[in-house]
Amino acid sequence: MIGRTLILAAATALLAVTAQAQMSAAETPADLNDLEIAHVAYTADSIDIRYAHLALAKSKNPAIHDFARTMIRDHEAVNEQALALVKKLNVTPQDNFLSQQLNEQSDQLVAEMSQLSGAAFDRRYAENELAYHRAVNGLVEGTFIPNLQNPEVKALFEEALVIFKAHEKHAEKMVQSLN
Amino acid sequence: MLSRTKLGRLIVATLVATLGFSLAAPAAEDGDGRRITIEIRKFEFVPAVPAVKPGDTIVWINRDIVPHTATAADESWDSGTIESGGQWEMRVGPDLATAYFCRFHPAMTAELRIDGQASRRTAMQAGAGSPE
Repeated sequence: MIGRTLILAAATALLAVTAQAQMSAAETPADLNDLEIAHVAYTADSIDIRYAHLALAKSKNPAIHDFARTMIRDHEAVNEQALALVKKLNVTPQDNFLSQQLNEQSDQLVAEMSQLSGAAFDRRYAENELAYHRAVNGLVEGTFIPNLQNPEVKALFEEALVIFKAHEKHAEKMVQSLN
Repeated sequence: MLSRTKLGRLIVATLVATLGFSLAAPAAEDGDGRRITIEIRKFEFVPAVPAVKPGDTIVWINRDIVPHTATAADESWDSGTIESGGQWEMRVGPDLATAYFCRFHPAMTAELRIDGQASRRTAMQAGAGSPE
């Protein structure tokens, strides 16, 4: 009896590991499934909130502060919607190579920006906001939205894209005004 | 003493004038005003240029998932934060600044068209070169 239980437990564990390996097999953004895409989006939102908190702590420019507060307000609102949807669908977003890559890049960038101050920081923050929103928006519009299978998740991404495109335009003006 | 014909014309003229008046200015004239709804959705004020009259009440309803504001370009009036699903209303008074924007997202701009009086249009400064 004990032997059968142990074998069953081992088989279950093996299945779980295999499933995990299959879920993490994505090597390009186009390979990601809905749950992995959701994880990337939540991660990308959280990273921008992190940058905004750094900007509030380091910058003295009121325009930078206004922009950073908008980033915190909007990205938190999008993440709240995402969490509510995840709860409703009773699913768990899955960590993946892209989320990890984004986190690593953001660690490096936060370390780099923390060394800057004054106008140099403001310019770096603004330029990164523009580049970051451009990159993420391109990914969301060109890869994630076309690949998403769940219609509710897709609808949330479409709504979020409108918001992030507005952020991109806003960042563009901010960069122009600082140069 | 008015002749029958003249009396008849006077009655018709009075009726036309009364009817014309009531058709031209239904609610704004009696102090009640209309309620004009502006929806904020997909980062736009819809309609972007509604016609309003003094005495009307404008209601902004936020259909987006993020907060917005409705703020006069000269900041003479300001809704404050309108949360997702929330609304804010303002009665149209005399000499109202008509150009407005969202303080959080300065590229979102719109205008009110005031019927029946000259309005105070202010240049849109926000979203036109400088961030917020």
